[in-house]
Amino acid sequence: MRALLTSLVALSACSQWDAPVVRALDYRIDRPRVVAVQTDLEQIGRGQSVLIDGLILSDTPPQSVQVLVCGFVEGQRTRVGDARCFQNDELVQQIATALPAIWTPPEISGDCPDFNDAFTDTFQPNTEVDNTAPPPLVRLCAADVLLAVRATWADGRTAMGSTHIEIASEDGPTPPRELRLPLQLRVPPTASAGDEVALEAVFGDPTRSRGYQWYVSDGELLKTGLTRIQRLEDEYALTDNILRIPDDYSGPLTVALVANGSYFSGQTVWRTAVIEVTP
Amino acid sequence: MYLTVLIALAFADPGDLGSNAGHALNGELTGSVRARGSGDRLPCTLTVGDETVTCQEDGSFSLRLAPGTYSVTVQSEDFADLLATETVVTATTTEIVYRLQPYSNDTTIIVYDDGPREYVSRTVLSADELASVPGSFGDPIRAIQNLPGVARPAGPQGDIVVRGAEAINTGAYIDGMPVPFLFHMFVGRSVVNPAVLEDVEFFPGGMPSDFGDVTQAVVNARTYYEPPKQGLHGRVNVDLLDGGFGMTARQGPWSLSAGGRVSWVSGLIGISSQIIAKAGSDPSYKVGWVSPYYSDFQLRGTRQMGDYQLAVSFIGARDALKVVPDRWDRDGDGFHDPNPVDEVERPFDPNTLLDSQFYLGEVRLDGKRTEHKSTTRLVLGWDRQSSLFSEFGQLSQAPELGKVEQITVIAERSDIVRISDTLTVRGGGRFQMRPTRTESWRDGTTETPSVVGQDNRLTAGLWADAQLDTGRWWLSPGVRLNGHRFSGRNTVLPEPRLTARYDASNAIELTAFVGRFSQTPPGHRTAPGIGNPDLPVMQAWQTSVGLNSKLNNGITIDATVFASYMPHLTVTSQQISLATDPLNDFDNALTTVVTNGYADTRGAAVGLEAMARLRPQGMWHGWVGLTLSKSFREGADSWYPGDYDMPISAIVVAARKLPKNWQLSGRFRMSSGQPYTPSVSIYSSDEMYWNAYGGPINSERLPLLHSLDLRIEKEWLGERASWTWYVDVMNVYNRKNPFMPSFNSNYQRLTREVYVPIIPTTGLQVDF
Repeated sequence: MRALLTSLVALSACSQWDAPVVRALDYRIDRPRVVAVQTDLEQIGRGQSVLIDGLILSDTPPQSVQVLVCGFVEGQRTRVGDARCFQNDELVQQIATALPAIWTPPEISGDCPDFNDAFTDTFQPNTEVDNTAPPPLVRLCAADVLLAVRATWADGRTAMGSTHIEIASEDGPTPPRELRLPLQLRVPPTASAGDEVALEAVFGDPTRSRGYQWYVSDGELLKTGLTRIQRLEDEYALTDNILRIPDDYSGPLTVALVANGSYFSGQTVWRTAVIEVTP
Repeated sequence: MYLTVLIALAFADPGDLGSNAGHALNGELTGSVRARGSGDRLPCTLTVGDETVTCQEDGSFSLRLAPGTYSVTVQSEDFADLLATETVVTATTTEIVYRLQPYSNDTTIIVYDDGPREYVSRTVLSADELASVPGSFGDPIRAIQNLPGVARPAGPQGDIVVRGAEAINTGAYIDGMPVPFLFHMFVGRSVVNPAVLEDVEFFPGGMPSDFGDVTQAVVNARTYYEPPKQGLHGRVNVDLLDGGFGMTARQGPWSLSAGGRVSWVSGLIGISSQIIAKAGSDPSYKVGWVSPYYSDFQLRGTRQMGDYQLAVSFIGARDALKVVPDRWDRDGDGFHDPNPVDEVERPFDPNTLLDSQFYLGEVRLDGKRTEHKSTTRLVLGWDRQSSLFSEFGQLSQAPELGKVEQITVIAERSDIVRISDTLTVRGGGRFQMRPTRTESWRDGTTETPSVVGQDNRLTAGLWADAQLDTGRWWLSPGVRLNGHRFSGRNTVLPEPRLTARYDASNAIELTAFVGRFSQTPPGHRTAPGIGNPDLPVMQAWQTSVGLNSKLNNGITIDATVFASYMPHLTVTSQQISLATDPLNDFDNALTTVVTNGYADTRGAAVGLEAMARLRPQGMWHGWVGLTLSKSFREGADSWYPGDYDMPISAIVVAARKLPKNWQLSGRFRMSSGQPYTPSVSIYSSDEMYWNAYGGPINSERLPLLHSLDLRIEKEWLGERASWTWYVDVMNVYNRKNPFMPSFNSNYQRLTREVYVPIIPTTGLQVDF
């Protein structure tokens, strides 16, 4: 019943049914977009700082950039996954006005339920393993909030991208995430109008990526804007695409590639390149 | 009664007619003229060429004519024209019965306000005459949507919105009794069977002082207290959506009227769904469907007692949207598996998405002396509205994911005393008690409602006004004292009202109105726990000036400029906050909770309504309406367009009588798209997904709305009954007019997934 109601609501309010198609075909940088937001930490421990960056694609630089967090309450655990959080200005905090940004969140409450107590009803103690070891990542004692990058242009246009971040009440158990993952974007530096040029990306860890999103400022991507890993070479994963440049195009043509991380091992990295197109 | 039958000579020279009279080769045209429906014989006069021949007293006639084909025109000041083509054969008698339609019972389109003139903004729509408006599916009450300034709201609820006001601000009445809804959901037919409906009284604003507890408009469906005809008469109507009957009977001082309707569209949907599913899917799958169900009934007995009339009435209606869930035979045992949803105990039926019903009983005594008319009534009723829809399908009369139940007790007395030829005084009082119980079902996982609210709501009104008629000037100052009690608070508000009319000439009159109105917010909006008990009484000031003119060729032109200011309005609001989510506790961590609530705000509206109409005195009838208006609500930082703000709205309604009792009618509507709140798109990197939140309230509009509806009907006249077959097609060219916004997955593009498609229907109506 709930599924039926949800589907009715979804029908009446919005539609995500076409999301893969839109992701595949909506690759043109024809409007301001924030297509990726990344952090160097999966979880921010007590006293730690996080590095936040975002990829903004537009024909002109934005007039202003804001890094926002929504749902974070000092001294209180929150779990916010609903983007409507940004609808209430009182729940939104601005933490930076430029990218990349560094943020050190205040501590959240240490009054957290005990991990083992919380799951006593669900899991029976496993007597065959060493239960004296400290519990793993204490997810129950972390706040999960939304981080967003909002860019505003002089003509009033805005674009937003977001990611989740966990803020733990204890020392961060996670080492900083490696932002400089080995992603190579191989793009010819020059091309002629009307050419079909090969684009190739090599990613260092095929298990950690679930999709490659391509963006171009003009032209047509013959493999659409959404590609998967197409072949493996040693420890590298490769994906490629073909860009058909318009016959009447000249000047710089931007190509961007975002290797999206997954929700559980979020590693979002990107590369951008420019092809100088001659008539 | 004066009746003329014109027989125009088509082929023969009228001058030859006399010489042919009595000729052995002539044919004979004989028959009679009767009133349609009642079958009463009518005395008449036949005019042939330059000659006028009077019918017999019993309506019979006999003419000897030269062989040929003749166009026959039947005219009467009290009856609609009747055109026919007759063929006269040599030495043969052609017998025919002409059944004439009284204007008050015509199947053409008519809008008139020639009734009592004590109101300046009232429009009275004749029930039978409006039934053929296309797109209304033969429902005269629904036809009021075709008037300037009127629209139906988005979504499934059966309401109308007037001058940009929310539907709750328009009072729905049946014979003066307030009812929760006047239209069935989705299909949109009214809850009163047309056969027992006398007319529809519609005030877009400027209600006189006897109407209270309303802040914008009034729709009052008036049914027969005293059927116009002796004997038994009625109507049976059957079409693809529903079937209904209505009858009136009058014998001596006693009268009886009854009507009812029940839908079967749900059965058709179910059968067709199963057929489609069986044709294209796994046989182990039993398809589910969602379908509307509706029914209504009306019953009244009346006794004339000298100068008094005693009536006992019962009315009721039910509207439901039910789900038949789909089933799988996953275990392969040959039987469809039970749905686990049905096995969970809940305070509601999970397969009933919407359920609205009301039942009212009334005892009424009317005094009918010319110098002193009075009405005394006692009403007892019960109503209930429930909804499993969330904020996107919210009903104006029911809580989001919840239920509201009310008992209604009304005691009313009103008097009209004619003091002199120039002065009439009216006064009265109404006491209304409504114990209201509300339940919230937002937490659908427990056996009991998550919140229960109770409120004993009272509304009392005393009113008096004077009507001064000095010839050219007609003035009516009045005042209403309205008391409201809800949420444990009492509010008393005086409501002065002034109506004026000036006859500038025989063809032009000017009107003006200014007045104050107040209204108790709906029960679920103030109920503790699920509503906002702090809401004040809704209030409005209205003013209007108008010009009504009658042209010689049967065309009337009406124009009204209106403005209203609402210092207190109850509107829906959405609050995003951090709180413990009852459904997803997250171990007491806070999360975003969306609370759809109600808030008090201010509103304003201004506009121009104009209508030019051609009355049914020829082959063509219809009207053209235009509305220019703006409706605003006050937000946190600025004023924004109201949910039903439609700056431009135009409508053309036309009907054409055709030979052999065919009639073709059409309606074209065009209006500004409804305002909506755009979504701000946020791309989530780690989910590769777009999320969104609401942007500036009502800062965007849906695309221009336009649609064409057509209706064709054919009538066969029997000896004791008339049969009418009709085809009504709504949205002929299948225009995708979204009635609510929906977006593609990245919230960059408005889609048109939610719209009313082309809806054809056909039916048969029998009047006897």
